[in-house]
Order: sequence, then structure tokens, then C-alpha cells
Amino acid sequence: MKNMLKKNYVAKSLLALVAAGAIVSCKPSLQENSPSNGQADFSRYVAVGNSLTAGYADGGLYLEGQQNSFPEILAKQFKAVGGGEFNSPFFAEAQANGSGYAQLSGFTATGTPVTSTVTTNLAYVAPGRFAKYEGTFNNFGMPEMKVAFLESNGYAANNPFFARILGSASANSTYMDVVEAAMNDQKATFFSFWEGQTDVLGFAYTGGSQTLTPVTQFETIYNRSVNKLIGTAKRKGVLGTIGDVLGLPYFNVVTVKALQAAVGQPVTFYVRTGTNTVVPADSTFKFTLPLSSAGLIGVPDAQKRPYGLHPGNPIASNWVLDPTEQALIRTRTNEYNAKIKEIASRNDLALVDIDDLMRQFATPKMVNGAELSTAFITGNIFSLDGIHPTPLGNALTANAFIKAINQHYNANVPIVNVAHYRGVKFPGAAAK
Amino acid sequence: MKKILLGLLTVLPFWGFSQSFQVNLQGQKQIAMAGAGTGLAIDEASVFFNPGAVSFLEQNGVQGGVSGLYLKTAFRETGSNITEYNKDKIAPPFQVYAVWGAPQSNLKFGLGVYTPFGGAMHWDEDWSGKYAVTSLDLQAIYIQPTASYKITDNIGIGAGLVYALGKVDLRRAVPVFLNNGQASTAQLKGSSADLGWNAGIYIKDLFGGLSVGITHRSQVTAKVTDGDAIFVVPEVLASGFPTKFNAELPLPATTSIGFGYSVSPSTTLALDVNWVAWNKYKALAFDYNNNERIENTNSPRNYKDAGAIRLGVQHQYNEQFTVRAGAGYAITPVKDGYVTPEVPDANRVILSAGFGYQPTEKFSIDFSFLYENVKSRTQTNIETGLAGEFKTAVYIPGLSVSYKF
Repeated sequence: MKNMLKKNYVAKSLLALVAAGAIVSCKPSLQENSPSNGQADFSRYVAVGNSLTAGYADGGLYLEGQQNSFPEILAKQFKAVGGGEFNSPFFAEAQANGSGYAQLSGFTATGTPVTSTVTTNLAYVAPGRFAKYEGTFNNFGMPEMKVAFLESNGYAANNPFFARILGSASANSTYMDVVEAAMNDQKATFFSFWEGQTDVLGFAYTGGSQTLTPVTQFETIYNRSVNKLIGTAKRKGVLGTIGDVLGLPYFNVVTVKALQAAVGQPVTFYVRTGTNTVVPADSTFKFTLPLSSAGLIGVPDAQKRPYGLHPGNPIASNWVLDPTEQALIRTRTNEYNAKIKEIASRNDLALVDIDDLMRQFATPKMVNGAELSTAFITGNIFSLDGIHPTPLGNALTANAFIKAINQHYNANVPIVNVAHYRGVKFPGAAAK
Repeated sequence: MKKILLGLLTVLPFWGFSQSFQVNLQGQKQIAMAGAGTGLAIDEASVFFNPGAVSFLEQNGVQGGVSGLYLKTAFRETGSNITEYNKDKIAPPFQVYAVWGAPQSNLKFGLGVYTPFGGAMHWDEDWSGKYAVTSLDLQAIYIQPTASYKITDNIGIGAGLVYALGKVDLRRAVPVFLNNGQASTAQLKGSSADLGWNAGIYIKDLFGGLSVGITHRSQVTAKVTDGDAIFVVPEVLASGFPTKFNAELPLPATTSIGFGYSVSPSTTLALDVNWVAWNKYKALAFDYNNNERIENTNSPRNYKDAGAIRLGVQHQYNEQFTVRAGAGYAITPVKDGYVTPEVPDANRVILSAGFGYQPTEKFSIDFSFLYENVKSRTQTNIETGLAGEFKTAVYIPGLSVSYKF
């Protein structure tokens, strides 16, 4: 009997051990990692900047792009560290395609991507005029906004995106007037200010036709704008440098080699430079992306001289960045960036070096198992316009902002899962 | 546009568990003793643990057992506040053994069917490492006919031929986006059949109740030929993707030395030291039958040889009941920078317990429970760039029944 009891005891103990082992919290736990706001207050974040802040992509501003702008992503991450509500001036569902945008519709027989423009459900009420956006919002990202335009009176007349969000403000208001008033109204506590890209880009994508904002003008307006953003409320914020414009797909798809491949022969191409001389183009010349679909190359003029293939009928300067223009772009970008860094440091603001970020992806880099780069379409960072990021590119940007903010403000804003965001979409159904 | 080089199909590793993808669950009695058993001749599982000891088994017998392997891994990307877990999935490694021979004969025969390598690792389809891997199912079944001969009253040798059947199903997301914004997917499915061997020597009562076993299980190189490569990609690109793949993977050789020591007639201690030749796992390469869109891959693994030490005790409480317990420590073969989400390996502590119940002379049933605590490891994979902390715990209950004849 005694033996029997003991036997049961042993068996029961063992059973209990097994059962206990199976029941105890099966989930392993990791080291503590608590989000924290550090020295910054994220309760009311306002995003200020150009198309990159607006979520412009694929050559247009449309709802999906707006929803995946880097400030939208950033604001979601701020919620873990006391961030409040964040709104962008979204297009309504019925007008979700906004200004229209490009989508990939297929490939030619030789593998050149073919894009088409989405023209349904646009937000235009008249040519060049959008339906007004009603309501308050925190994302002031403004397509085409240069530093040079930040304080321009009556700017709404030149930019339908600005006219769209002007609300009750006077039509004569400058962009910074509107931003400043809204920040005070909303009691903004934190800002991102990523500006200057368009000052360089405007020159670059017109093949050097537009003027570059003079450095002193850039510095004066930039500095004054930052002072307004900081304001009497002594807001904290983050500034971004200008990315390496020449590294954008827009300037790296059409090359002499690609043009020769399209012609099918190693012919010489003639271009008109920025100084109005005609020279044969070598591999140091860059051409803009739209040249690939402009249908100009080889078309004979009245004297039967094929476009681009004869010194008498060269590729026009607006399609070309010659080495001199490229050097100017690089120099000017460095000058602007030096000013941005100086202003960030003087005002004790966080700084995210987008120029450096872009260079990291000039050659393919693995991110969470995905190979990403600045290459057109296959790189997945830039959208079909070759200038603005995809949602995935915006997620990378947001993480770069978070890193800079965490470092500067001793905060621990959690990063975003980049793998959750898409790159360039391909047409058609899924196939096995 | 030139050939589209899609994100490299780089990380196509195979399997996970119990010191990388080796599974040390080959006998319930031994599992309950932390996997020690090379220096013992306690049951039919010696076919696996030490073919040399098979000739010392006194009775003919068959046994079959199964474990329920439940592995939970937590991952948090560096800088993130979200902890991701693999999905609940129970892998069923099993073992079947038979040993027979004429009574009093020095020659015994054995047959073993067991699963020494395998895994089932499933992550969420949209998890942060989805481009590295979303799921892996692996099964290697070894079928091992064995002969064992007792040279003297104290020394036995044995060897078996291993016929290894492998099956793999590996999935990941591919960063090529469908029209709905979803990533494409790749699935690699294949099977293999290869040969290997297992041999051992067993010396009983070397001195004072101490027995010793030494075994070597050979490497099996699992070759998948014409496996199915199933890419679900945008229609416009589909024709450029492969449909078949070839791959080769070493299932490494293991050399073990084990000791058995009878503390008393009812209490036995077992100590095993295993050495696994993981260094042969240098790279994982996939060759595809269509390289228009993706290139063949060659992913460095650069494993190092790794060992494990296992200590177990068995106490026969009475004629019906035996209790067992064990502890062990296994060193990971995966170097820093090479940790992957399907094999989130690290050094591990092993704890085990179990008991046997033998109601009749011929019939017995054994239970085991094994717990493995895999150390936390914060890593940046040199190939995928996936950076974060992994932490794994493994819970493995199991049971077997055996019948002597």
C-alpha cells in the first residue's frame, strides 16, 4: 500500500512536471526596448517641405502616395512616443487619383517599360484647378515648392496644389504665412523641414534651362523659415539635406549606351550644351528620362539630318546635362547642404543626411532580404517618375528621419517595418 | 529595359532546430536523458545511438515513438518596438526501431527509421523578414538497416547503411510587386534520396561499471534535382522566371563518444559528447533552369564545427517504473553574421525529464519532455541585412511504446 502510494506520487509528479512545462509561458521574451520621446515633444507634429513631404509619386499627387508619404509613416511611429493626431490633405475617395499619375502598362518587345497615365477620378474641377480641401491638417508638403518660393506672395496663382489647401487664407498669402499660422493655431510641438531639392531639381530636369537659386538667397529664406518654424514656442524639429539629384533614375536611364542600343548601332550622338555649342556626347553626358519616349531620335529635319545623329540637328540642351552642368549641380547641392547643416547645428535641430542615404543605395544594398537601389523600376526605391520615392522608398526615408531624431533628442522612436511597403507595381494578374 | 535583376534569391537556407537543423530526438528514453545514449545499451534506439551496442540487447524488440516539437521564436528588428513571433506549428519527428536475432547469437540485426534533420518554421506572410524567408518545412527520414556483432563478451561493433529521404518546402516573398501592391512569392519544393552510413563500437564494463561507446554517422549530401520552383509573379514577367531548381545540402557527419556508468543496479548515468562536422556547410547554392530574371544564387553559410555535451540519469524505481532526467549544452555552428530567421540558432541549454512504465515483461511505454532554451542573439545578417534580436524556446513532449519478443 505504501509502495503503491509512492508509485502514484512519482507518476503524478512527473505528469505535473510535463504539464507545467507545456503550460508555462511558451513565448520567449526579448530584452526591454521601451519607446521614449527623449527631449522632444511629438504631441503635435507638422511636416513642411516640397513634393517629397507631400507624398508625390509616379509623376503625380494621388491618394495612395499621400497615404504613404514619409510624414504619414513618421507620424504613425510617433504615436508610440506621445504623438497625436496627424492629417494630410487627402484627396477624397471619389477623386483619389488627384492630379493623375503614371502606371506601368507593359513592356515593348525590346523590354522598354511602357507607362500610361491614369486619368479617371481626378481632383480637377477646371483645368489647373483642384477641388478645395476643407479641414485642418498637419502635412504641408507642397509639390514644386522651392526654397526660393517659400516667401512668395500670391504663390497660389502659380501652384494649384497650394491654391487647393489655402482654405480661408488670403490668395496673396505666402506658403510660410500659411504654415506659420497653422502651427500656432494647432500648437505644433515638432516639425520636419525638408526643403531645397526642387531648387536643384528644377535646374536639373530641364537640362539646365531653369535658374538655380543663388546660395545667399537660399540661405536667407531657409534661415528665416526655420526661425518661423521654431517660433516663440521654441519648437524642436528635424531638417533634411538635399539628396544627390544626379543619382536619381531620372538622369541615369537614358545614356549614350542606351541610345546606341535603341538605334542598334554604336553611332555618335550630338548634343547642344548649356553654353550653346554642339559637341559629340560621350559617356559622361546624362539625358533626362522623358527623352526615351519623346520619339525624337533619328527623326530627320527639313535638310534630312536625323535628330541627334547629325551635328546640324543635335539633341536640344533641355534633354541633356553636360559635364559642366553636372558639376554645377553637385557644387550647388553641396553649398545648399552646407547651409542646411549650419542652420541645423546653430538651432540645435536634428539633421537627416538624405544626400548620404541616397549614396548608400547607389549600388544595390540588401534591406531585410530585399535588394534595393536607386535603379529605375528594379531598384524599388523610386517611383515611375524617376524622382519621387515609392512607398517603400518613403519607409526608408522615414527610418532615416527616425534615426536622426533618436540620436539628436535622445529619443527611442521605433522604426517602421520597411518590408510592409510596396515598391514599383507591375501590370497584369499574378501568374505562376 | 535590360534584364531585370530581381532581389537576389539569396537566403534559401533549409532547415531549423536543435543545433541548427539537426534534430536530436531519436529515442524517448534518451531524450529524457538530454539525448545521451551512445554509451548505453538500453533499448532498440541503439540502432541510431550506437549500432555496436545493438548486439548487447538481450531481447528482440520493436518500438515506435513520436515527439511533438513546438518551437517558438521571438524576433524584434533593431530599433523596432514590435516583437514578431513565428506561427504555432508542431513538427512531428518520429522513430521506429526493430532489433532481432537468434537468442544467444552474437549477431543481431536492426532496422531504424528516424528523422535526424528537419524543421517547420513559419513566419507571418508580411513579417519584417519576409524577403529572407516566410516558411520552411523540412523533413529528412533516414532508413537504416543494421548489423551488430558481439566480438567478445565486452566488445560489440555494428554498422548500418543509411538511405536518406529528404523533403523541403521553402517560401519567401520576392520584392517584385503585383498590381495590388503585394509582393511576389517564391516557393521551392523538392525531394532527395541519398546514401550514408552509421557505425559504432561499444565496450561494456571497461572498468568498474563503466561502459563506453564511440560512433560515427556519416555526412549525407542531400541533392535536390529538378525541384519545383514556383514563382507567383506579375504576368508580364512570368516567362522569365524559372520553374525548376537544383540544390545540394550537406547533412553533416556526427562523431560521438558516450559513457555509461552504473552507480547502482538501479541507477545509470550517461554522458555523451557529440561533434558535428558543420564546417562542410559552406554555402547554399540554387541553380535555376531559367536565369532571364534571376540569377543562380550562392549564399555563404560558413558554419563551423560544433559540439554538444549531454548528461542523463536513469533510475529504475521498481519493476514497473523508471524515471529519467538530463541536462545538456549545445554550441551553435552558426557564426555571427550568418544567423537567419529559419535557423535562428544560438548556444542552447537543454533540460529533460521523463519516465517509463512497464506493466508487463513485454510491453513498455516511455514519456519524455525536453526543453531547450536557445540563447538570445542580436545579429545583422551579412547577406540579407536583416538586423534584430532572436530568442527561441523549444518544448518537446514525446512518447514511445515498445514490445519485446
